[in-house]
Amino acid sequence: MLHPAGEVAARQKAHLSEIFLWMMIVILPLFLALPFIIWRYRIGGGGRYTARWNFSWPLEIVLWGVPLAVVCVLGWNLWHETAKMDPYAPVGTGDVLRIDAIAYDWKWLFLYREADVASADRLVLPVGRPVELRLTSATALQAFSVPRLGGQIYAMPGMASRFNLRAEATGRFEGLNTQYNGAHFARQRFVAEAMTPAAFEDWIAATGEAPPLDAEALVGLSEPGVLEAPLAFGTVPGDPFQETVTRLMAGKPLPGDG
Amino acid sequence: MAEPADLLFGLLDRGDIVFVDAWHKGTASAAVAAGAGGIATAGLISVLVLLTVKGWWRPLWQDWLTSLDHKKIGIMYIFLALVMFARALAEALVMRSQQAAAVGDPGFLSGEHFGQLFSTHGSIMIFFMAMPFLTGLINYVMPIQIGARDMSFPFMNAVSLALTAAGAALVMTSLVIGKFSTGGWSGYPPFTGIDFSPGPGVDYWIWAITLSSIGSTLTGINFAVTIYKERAPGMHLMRMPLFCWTALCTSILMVFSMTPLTLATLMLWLDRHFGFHFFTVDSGGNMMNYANLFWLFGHPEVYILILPAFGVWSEVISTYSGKALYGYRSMVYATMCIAVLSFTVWLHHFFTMGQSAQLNAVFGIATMAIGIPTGVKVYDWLLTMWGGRIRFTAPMLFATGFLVSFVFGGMTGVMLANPTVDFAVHNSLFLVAHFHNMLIPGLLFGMIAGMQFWFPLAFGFRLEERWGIIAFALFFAGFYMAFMPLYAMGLMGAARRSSMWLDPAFASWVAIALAGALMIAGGFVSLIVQIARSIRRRAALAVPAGDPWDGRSLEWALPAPTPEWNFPVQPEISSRDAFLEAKRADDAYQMPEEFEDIEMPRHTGAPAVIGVALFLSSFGIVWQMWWLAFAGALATLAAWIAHSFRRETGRTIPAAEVERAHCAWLETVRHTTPVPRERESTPANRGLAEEAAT
Amino acid sequence: MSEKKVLHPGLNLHATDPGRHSQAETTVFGFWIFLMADLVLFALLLATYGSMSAHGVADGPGPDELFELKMPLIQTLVLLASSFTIGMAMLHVKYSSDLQGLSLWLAATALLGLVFLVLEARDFHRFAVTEDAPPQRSGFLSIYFLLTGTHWLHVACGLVWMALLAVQTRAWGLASQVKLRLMRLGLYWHMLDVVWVAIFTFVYLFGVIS
Repeated sequence: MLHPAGEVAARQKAHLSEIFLWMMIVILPLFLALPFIIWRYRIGGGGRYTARWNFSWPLEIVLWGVPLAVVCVLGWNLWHETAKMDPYAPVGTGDVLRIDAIAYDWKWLFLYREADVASADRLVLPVGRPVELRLTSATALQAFSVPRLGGQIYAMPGMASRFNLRAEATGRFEGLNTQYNGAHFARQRFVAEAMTPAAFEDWIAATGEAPPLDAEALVGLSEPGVLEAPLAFGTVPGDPFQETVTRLMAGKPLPGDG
Repeated sequence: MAEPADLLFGLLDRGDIVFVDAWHKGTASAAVAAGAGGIATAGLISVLVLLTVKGWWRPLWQDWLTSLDHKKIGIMYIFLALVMFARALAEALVMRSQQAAAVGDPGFLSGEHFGQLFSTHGSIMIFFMAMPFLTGLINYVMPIQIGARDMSFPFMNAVSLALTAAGAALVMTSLVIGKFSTGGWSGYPPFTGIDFSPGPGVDYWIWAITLSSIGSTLTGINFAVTIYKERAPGMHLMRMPLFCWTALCTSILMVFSMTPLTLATLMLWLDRHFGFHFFTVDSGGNMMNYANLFWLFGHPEVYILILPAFGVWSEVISTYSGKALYGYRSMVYATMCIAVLSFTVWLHHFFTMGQSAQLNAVFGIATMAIGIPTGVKVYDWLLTMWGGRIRFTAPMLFATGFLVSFVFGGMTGVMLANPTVDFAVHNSLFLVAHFHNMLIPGLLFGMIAGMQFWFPLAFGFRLEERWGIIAFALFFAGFYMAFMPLYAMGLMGAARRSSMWLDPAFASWVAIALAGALMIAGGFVSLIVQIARSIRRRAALAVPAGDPWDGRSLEWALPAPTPEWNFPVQPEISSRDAFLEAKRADDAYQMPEEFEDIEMPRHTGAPAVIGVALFLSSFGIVWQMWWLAFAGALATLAAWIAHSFRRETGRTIPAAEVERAHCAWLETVRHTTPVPRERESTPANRGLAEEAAT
Repeated sequence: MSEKKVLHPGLNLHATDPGRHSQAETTVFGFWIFLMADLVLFALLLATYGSMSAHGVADGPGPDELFELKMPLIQTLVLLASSFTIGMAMLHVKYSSDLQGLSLWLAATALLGLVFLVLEARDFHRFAVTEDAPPQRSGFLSIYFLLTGTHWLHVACGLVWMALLAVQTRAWGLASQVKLRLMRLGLYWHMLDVVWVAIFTFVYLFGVIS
């Protein structure tokens, strides 16, 4: 989050810094006053002992008022920032690239609907173009996160959630699941690669040559385990995303289960 | 579905015993598990041997396990908390070691074992360390502070303890027989459903916390009724010590918030074993309902944890500064605000679950609003110190450490309250660092300070200062070393509950965190050393006159250790800080005009029987040994019914005995030299305070 | 000891047992708080029911297909009647030391309670077996069975409690302890009646209307 490469992450970092500065108003007086008070009012120190003093209206007004004002400011900011950075809203204008994501134990499958290709454990994105992910899980609750691009959202079995982001710079970024889902949770990683639009088109074309995402491949993905290296699939028959959602809702096991 | 369970042994199999399992598997991970099981077993056996050799079985039963005295129950709660703290701390060390060893390497623990560790660590720390600790402190101190003889419902008090102990025993059993849940302390389905967690682990978790949560509900009722109904004449609500106010608000939170947890876990159990569809993916189940129910409990729970600690700070800071608490009314209102607002923020635990931005924002603002009364309290404590004559005893050092550290955690809390930031760091180590930042300097320091502050009341002698200060230094420095790296790692994208790291950049951070954890463990060891050494030197540390700190509230107006009946006659109160005002008016240590017979509850073995029976019953449920489950439940019912058939539940302490004891104490006080605060931590302090020069 | 004002007038313990009389206030107050916690349980069950009766039906029967009003209405009347009979029993506790009258009214309450349990159990059986609508079929059915089942268990426990008190009344007469326990049983029973009215309304009535 400290080295944002995406619009959302950059906004998050800015917001975090802003909160930090406003909170200093509330915190700094404590850090300054406490050492002073400890020194001055320690037994044997020079401070005047006022055993019964325990109230002061001006102080009350400040003590309640200042945090209230700070929270009002922060609350105003919160409202606007939260609305702006709604993961369900597209980031910026332009032609939205739609990708479906299925979370397995312990890997991710990304399906590029329009381009009819798929990629496991590797999310390739064009820089500067808004991307909308539609997410579900084939197993238990999981969470999709690419810290440097910004944000995360839960992927839930039998349901579809949405996540919008946009890469601002080229590079390779770590992606992960943040919701514990079993013994190999720590190794469930994917790489998010942002490339120039031209390079992205090349990648789509090259991936089109890869073997199809057929039933056998889907069974392989459903088997619990970690992929040693990302996989590529040249064509996506049917709608595995919708299939996954529907089958789980109906209580039918996915191919490869049982 | 698995094969039908065996009639006698249910799902139990020899391979479920941790030593057998380690023998078969032969991995480092299994060896660690066997080692832990071995320590627990050896510990239990040692205790049994010790009790037998020293002939302590009879006094244990007669004086402690059958007692309905709130003071004894309070001490037993704290003892349980310290034992469970040792285990959960050890688990933290094992996890930190694994993470330090596992950068780019699988480490020595299996992923599954690591999953059990973070689940037991969290569950134990919350349900079997923090809750018993605060319940124990409130149990001991609150009735005396309001001028009462006991809780409103002494029998129910003992049953609450028995329930909590039964839950703790269940968790300890999972160390030796079977495995524990790997679903974390929050236990989200579908991962904790029968498909993804088929073994008994999640059931251990469900029943352990069900027992504990029922115990806490009953405790909440007891505390609330006691404060409403048992206050001495003149002890208006606005004259109560702040500790009693926080106890009242905590108890109301307990009554209302434990139920959602009991319901959520019951539904999960029905889903797991009876094919129900509360949280399943198919057939109309909705896993998001679990998140809502759990956090409807979970958020008030963290305020249950912190409010008693706030109460301790009010007492400790005002006493050791020699000053009245600043802004009493503000503190009371702030406490009430916190209690009420705690029910309005639960959604911030799952901002990332896909709700609308507006809904997230509403809960985010509500969450930040809680920071206002909390900030007021912190500054009120600071202002209590202003104009005081502060003595830096161990509890006061913990208070200072708390003030500095807690606000930092509060700031990160405000950050997390913003959904935008939360989307970045939810479920990361940043979150873990935040809540440990609140719990360790807030709750843990508060409980330790409270224990050290009130220890003389329970046992008649002070704890020695030196090892208390060493404990503080280790806890304080250890906390920073262990958790500041986690903030950094969280911002760098590290997820929580991770058994290994793939990014080499984390290596130095986890190493520092491990060093910090070792220091914290050193702090705990120092506490034990402090207690052990103080027991050995108790003659020199004795404070029979009962007021070692120039205390302000009623608990210091009695002999130390506190007599069984607390007050010889019911006090009449006319102000806040009643005992201090009496001392300053030269009106303390009076002989009452007339003594009366005192009726106290009679001892009974029913709560202990209920505790054992419920432990056996829940063990039976977990392993599907249905005969045991039913037998235990029936035994529980039988003990309860048998107790209800007892006609004489009280015993009378004759007035003459009370008078004799009180006179003896006043005689002791007359022969005690009062000490000024400068000599408070020396053996000259026999529990009588010289009036401070104003 | 200072004279406390008469705070709990319902039990007439003052003359014979002043200690327990002032303690009665606390005991009954504590029980009210326990009832509050129990009501939270039912409130959460009803809230969950509200959500799952709309979204959790899946391909099982919904409330409109499953419920009718006749049997629930009869059950409601039975419970209301039992509230009346236990109220009469409590009047006997307060105003007379007539053990026989108390026993009669308590027995009537127990009988009505038993009738309620049997009728409800038959309903459960009908849904689960005959109509192929067991709790395992859908989320809606799971919460329906848990909500009404929890109420059923509460009523059953109330009956066990009633039997125990009948024994204790026989053994000790109208001792203070017995009076206090009967008082609490009465409160408990009335609360279960109120909960049932809520269940009748939100489950059966709303279900049939929708």
